[in-house]
Amino acid sequence: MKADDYINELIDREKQMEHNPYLATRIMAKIETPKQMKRGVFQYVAVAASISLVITMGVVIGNSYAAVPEKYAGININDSEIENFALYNSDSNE
Amino acid sequence: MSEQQIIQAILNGDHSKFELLVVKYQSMVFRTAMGFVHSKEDAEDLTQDVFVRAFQSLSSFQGNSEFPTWLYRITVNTSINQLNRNKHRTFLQIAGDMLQSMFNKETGDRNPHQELEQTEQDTAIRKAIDSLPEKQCTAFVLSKYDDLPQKEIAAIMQCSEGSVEQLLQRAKTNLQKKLKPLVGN
Repeated sequence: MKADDYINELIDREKQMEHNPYLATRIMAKIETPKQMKRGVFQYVAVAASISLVITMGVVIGNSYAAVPEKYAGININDSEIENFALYNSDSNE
Repeated sequence: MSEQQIIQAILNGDHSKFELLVVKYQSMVFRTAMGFVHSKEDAEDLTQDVFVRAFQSLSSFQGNSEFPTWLYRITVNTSINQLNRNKHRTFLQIAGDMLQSMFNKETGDRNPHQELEQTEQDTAIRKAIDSLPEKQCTAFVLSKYDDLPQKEIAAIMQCSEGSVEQLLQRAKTNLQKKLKPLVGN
């Protein structure tokens, strides 16, 4: 068998191969599907910029916080000035 | 409805008319694609790509050549691009394809040894065809797979008939050289 015969035999086998009967439908579906927008470089830059902006704003807002000095209010209770409850409980005082 | 009328209707917005062209030429495109990629699935994907490209660039079709000639040019260009991409495929992808083709093949009356021999032989022939220079490969595929006359091949490749004849002769010599180890003397 010569090289030509081998080649022709392979080509004949490949030529006999049938395509999928729904190939035309598949092609038409592909054509009629609205083309998806490709993500451009601008989109990636915009996402990176918005993340950076959020982080920067967080840092700025965090730094702008100044601690307000607290005003303490104290209650001075002198136990000796508290009225003695025993006066009211005692039967002799009624 | 003539092809020119169909094209005009598509350009006027009636996209459904494109199906008429797809149905008419899908086998032709598929066969040519098979000549370049040698796999049914790849050829179908390529056929889809060819028609999508043809649809997108239909407005650039001037009618200077026949529609099938124009479509053949798109098929050849898309197939060559695909072939170049396939050259960068990894070893695992190639091995996977080989295994798939072995398992999907009808064995007939052959025993596993004969089957393996046949697979190796087919792979060697496909490799030899793929390794031909681009123009030789194109002329060879259009001549052998599509049975096109040299005049039509010349129109598709935009060269003279003499050049096509030379390309075919060189392709034949190259293939014989490359396949010498397979067939012996």
